[in-house]
Amino acid sequence: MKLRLIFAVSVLAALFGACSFEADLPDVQITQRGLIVPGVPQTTLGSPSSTPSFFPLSSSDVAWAKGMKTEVLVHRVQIVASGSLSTLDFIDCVHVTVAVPASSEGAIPIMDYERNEEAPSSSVIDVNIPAPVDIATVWSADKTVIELQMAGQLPEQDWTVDVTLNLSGKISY
Amino acid sequence: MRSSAQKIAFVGSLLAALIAAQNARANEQPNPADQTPSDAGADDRVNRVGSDAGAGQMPDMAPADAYVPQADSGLADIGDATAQSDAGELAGSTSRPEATHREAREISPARGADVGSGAGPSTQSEGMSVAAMIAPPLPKRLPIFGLMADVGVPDGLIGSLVIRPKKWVRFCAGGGANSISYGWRTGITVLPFGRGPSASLEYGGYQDGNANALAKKLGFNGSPVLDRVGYQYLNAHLGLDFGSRRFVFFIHGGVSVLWGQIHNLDAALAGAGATGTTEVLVRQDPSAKAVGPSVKLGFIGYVW
Repeated sequence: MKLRLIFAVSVLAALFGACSFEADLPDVQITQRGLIVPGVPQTTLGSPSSTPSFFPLSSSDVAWAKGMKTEVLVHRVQIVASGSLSTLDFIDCVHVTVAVPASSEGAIPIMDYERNEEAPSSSVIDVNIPAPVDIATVWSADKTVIELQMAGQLPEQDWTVDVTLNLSGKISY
Repeated sequence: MRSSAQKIAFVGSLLAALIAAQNARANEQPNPADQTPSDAGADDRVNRVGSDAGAGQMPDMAPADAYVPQADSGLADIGDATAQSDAGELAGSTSRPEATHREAREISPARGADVGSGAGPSTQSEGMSVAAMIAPPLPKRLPIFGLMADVGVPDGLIGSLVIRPKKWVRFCAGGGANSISYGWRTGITVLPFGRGPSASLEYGGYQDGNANALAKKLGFNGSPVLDRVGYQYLNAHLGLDFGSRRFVFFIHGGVSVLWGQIHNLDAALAGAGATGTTEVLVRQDPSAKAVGPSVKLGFIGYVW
């Protein structure tokens, strides 16, 4: 009798404990507006470069997107000129990484862009990533930094861009 | 070893033979003194036992002999042919009541009635009739079709048509509501013992409906996400079913899997999605899946 009771309670506990929730978000767009890119003095030797970075979703209001814990894939990166800039033709290459600050884990490269000499003038750098990179390991950290390393004939004055990442992922509890 | 049916057939044959012998002896030894009130009572019993066939055969009989055909009606119950010939032989005999009196004692009213139904002169067929009469009645078949009503989570309130082709299995299909929209459900329940423990597997769904009113009733704020709430679900339940023939009460519990689309999440996050310099947009409706406990209780009334 006691065994039966224990068995029944165990079964019920297992049933009621088996609660889970999972949401599949196929397209979440995160935009960092007005990212300031420090100007580079023209006296700099070689190809001048700048490495601005930002901490997306640091605000608690949008932190839910950080709830994506598994299969967080970056599908697309957009860099759009903002402020007084009318074009981004001066940028020769862009290298974007995702990392956790002060972590031994290395940064994960998510995009590499190189401007084509014959490409038309544009205020947008739009790169689709054919083989999306899973950044779940760094995305789930409390603080994630996205770093852009840009090189080219960069302006001497600070300038701003809007950076958009298109992600997919799963939220599970 | 003889079977019960053979034994009964033998007894039936024996009774028929005894009755025939009594009739013959009554014809040979008339005894008017046997006409007594008690005999009349016996005749009454026989009359009750017998069919109308015997009484209807001789409507012109004299009052004194009126009971004779009635008595013969008891014989007619044994076999129409025999009874008719007996009626012809005994029409004028005053000794007939004696014979019928004894016959009434030897053949119980119930037996007499059944023996007479359709039995011919053959003693074997008479015996078979007795056997058929004594054989235990066939068990009634279980009603197959029924109506079910149940309430639970995530099922809501569901009314279903139930089909029970076998005692140990039933199928159901129906529709209902969950305070948000209308839905449907179908399922199968297996009862290994016909009652008691049961296992059910059910699949159902609810179309999109506005859940804001329900949320407000429950004390929550409305949200664009609740404008369209619909889901499909799968139940895997164990339970107990009480009753089995006409009425069944059950309580089932187990695990359910729910899945569906979350609509308008972008609109819901529009306020909170743009804080400072960061903006989050959900450009495509997410699909959600939840696994959790579920329970329901209900009853079934089988109608046919």
